[in-house]
Order: sequence, then C-alpha cells, then structure tokens
Amino acid sequence: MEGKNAMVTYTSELLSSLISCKKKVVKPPHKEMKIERGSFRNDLSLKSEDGKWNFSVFMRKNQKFAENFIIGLRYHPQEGESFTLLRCNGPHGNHIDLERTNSSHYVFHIHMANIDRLNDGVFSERMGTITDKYASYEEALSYFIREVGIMDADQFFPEYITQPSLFSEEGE
Amino acid sequence: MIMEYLDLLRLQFNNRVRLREKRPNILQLEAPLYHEDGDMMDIFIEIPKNGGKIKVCDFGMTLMRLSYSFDIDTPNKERILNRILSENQVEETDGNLWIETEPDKLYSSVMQLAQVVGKVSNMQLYRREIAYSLFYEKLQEFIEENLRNYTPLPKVFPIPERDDLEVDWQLKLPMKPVYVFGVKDYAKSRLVAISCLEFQKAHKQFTSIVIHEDFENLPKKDRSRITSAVDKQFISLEDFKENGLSYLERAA
Repeated sequence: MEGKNAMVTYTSELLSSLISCKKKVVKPPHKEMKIERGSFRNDLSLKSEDGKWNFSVFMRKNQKFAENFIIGLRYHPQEGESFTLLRCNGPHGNHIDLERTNSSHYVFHIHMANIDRLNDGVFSERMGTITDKYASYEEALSYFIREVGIMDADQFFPEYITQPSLFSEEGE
Repeated sequence: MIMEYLDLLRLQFNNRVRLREKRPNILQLEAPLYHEDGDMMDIFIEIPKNGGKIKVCDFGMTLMRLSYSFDIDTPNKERILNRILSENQVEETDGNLWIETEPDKLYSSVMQLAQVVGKVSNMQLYRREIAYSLFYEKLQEFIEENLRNYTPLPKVFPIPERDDLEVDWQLKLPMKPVYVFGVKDYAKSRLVAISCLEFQKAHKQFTSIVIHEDFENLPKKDRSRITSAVDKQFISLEDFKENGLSYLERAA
C-alpha cells in the first residue's frame, strides 16, 4: 500500500522500517518529567542510525489520573508535515473503532500510523488496537523503548530497561 | 437530587451516554463525542462534596493530548487559546478546562465543553498558519518600529505583470532598493529563490535580504538554493534584530 505526504511516497514497509529502525538519541530526555498545564511531560529527539531520518518522542502522563498517559513516536520528514507513527495510550476512555467492534471499553491501546490515513493528510495513527503489552505507564515506556529501537536506552531510561515485567511469561 | 439530573442527562443524550466513576465524586462521561483520531473526548463531571455547583471539566486531558503535536508555547498560540476559551465561556486552571454549572444545565454545559475541546484540539490543524502569522507579526513589528528610516513598503511587485512574484517589504536605500523576505519554511524559501532569480533575469537593480525563522530547519538542498539566489541572509529573527540595522547602515 502507498500513501503520500507532501512529495514523499510512503509504503507500509517504509512505515514499519521507520518505527523499528535503530535510533540514536540526539536530544536526551529530562531526568525528571516536568509538570505543565496539568500533565507530566518529557520529550527527546532521535535520529536513525544511518542519519537519514529524524524523530521525536513524547511522553505525557495526566497529573490527576496516572493511568491516562500517552507515549509516542513522531517522524519529521525533510519535506512535508511531521506525523505520529506509533502511540501507546493508557485506558483514558473509549475509541470509536473499539465501540464499532463492541470491544471492551477503557483499555490500554496502541495507535499505529496507517497508509490510508496518511494519504488523507491528518491523524495518520487513528486506528486504535487493544494491547496486552503493558498495564502501566512504566511498562508502556519499557515496551515503547524496545519497539522503536532506541539505542543506548539504558543511559537515558535505566529504570525502564532493567525492570523485568512482573507478569512476563517467558521472563522477557 | 444530582442523580436525578444525571438520569436527565442520559435521557437528553437519548440513552447514548454512560457515566463511569473515575474517582470518588468524579464521573467520566461516555458519550458519542469523539476526537478526530477516534478517541472519545475526555469529559468529567465533578460532583461537589458539600453542595455547590457541579463542575464539567477535562482535567487537562485536552491540552495534554494537543501538546505532542502542537504545544501552546508562544504568545500568539496563547492568545488564540484564550480567545477560544473566553468566547465559549470556559475557564482554564493549570490545564484543566472547566465550566461550573447547575444540575438542570448539565446537558448544555457538557455540549459547551465538548465544543471547546474540539476547537482546542483542532488548533493543531492550523499550526502552520498560527506559526506563520506569529513569525510575520514579529518581523513586521520589528520592521515597522526599527526600520522607519528606510521607508518600508509592504507587498511590492517589482515585475508588474508577474503578481506571483511578491516582495514582502521594500526598503528605500540611496543606491538601490532592498527587497526583504521572511522565510518560514521550505515552500517559501523556494518561492523567494525563484523570485530573486526572476528579478535578476528582468535586470532589476536590488539587494535581497532573507530573514529565516530557522535556517537550520530548512532541507539541505533548499539551504543551497536560497544561498545561491539571494544577497544576504539572517539565520533567525533574533539574528536580524541583532545585526540587521548595522548591515543596512553599511549597505546604505
């Protein structure tokens, strides 16, 4: 499948590569999340190992409700608008796609960029799917770091790399 | 009493609404009100402990969601946000968007907040225009306040029959005019490069100055193109504010 954003043609394969490629930290995150307008926030900038692609990571956690969080990866192309490739959400509420499929409500879910949506030019990551990969902000961050290939992540997120999953079946 | 009104709210939503206890005295509204990305809007009803007014609010979720693609980090964006809030009579405290209401006005207050949540969330759709206008506002302000001696003239078309080749400001200098361009992104950068080359081809006598919002942010090829086409560039508005006047004095 192909989609267009400005002058670049994207394919599903390219989107997968953008998500999973090894990435170097260009601008590290703050040691502590800072509170801003009702949420804990942190950000970092990444570059693909070969230097071709630029990314940013956003981490947000609601100050009032710890379970309402978002951790995401945005791609910043040389030309055209930046867009979100992957977004790990806490169970903040329902999603229209989950409603349509009568899936359970208020669950941890992941939004992934989709070629068709990218072609529309907005909210490329609309599709939400339920996940059992994490059950807290900390677990979500640990999952996210592995999923998006952040290199030397132990330097920037030591507590999230070394922390084993409490309910891991295979001792991941 | 309040429970009666929550039942009324259900009725008004044609039973397409559920209320879920998020925390003690805080109910989350589950209603067919969605963000553009399909997520349900985060709307809560805070029941007062000792009487008083009910609060319909979002507990900072809207601005949190917005912040990863569009942060409210400039005076212009702040102004637009405040305008949306004040025009819709919604308050903001530490990111929390809220309305105080009476039980019998719960439905209209929920819809009022939902409308604001939608508007604030959609600020990201206008990010280019908002950032663009801010950069231009600041540049215009500086030029009008500090370059009056050079009689700045906005929106000049040096080749009358080419209304697609516009100069943002023309400054009057003794030898030849200075064409000033503000450049926010690669699209404008390309237009400026083409314009300057066309003016040269038409044997116009001028000096061209480009003020970038962020030169380093341009793609490499566009940095080369514009460097080759114009006479002088300032890598940022700050750079222009610091060094623009002395450059013009030397050029005069």
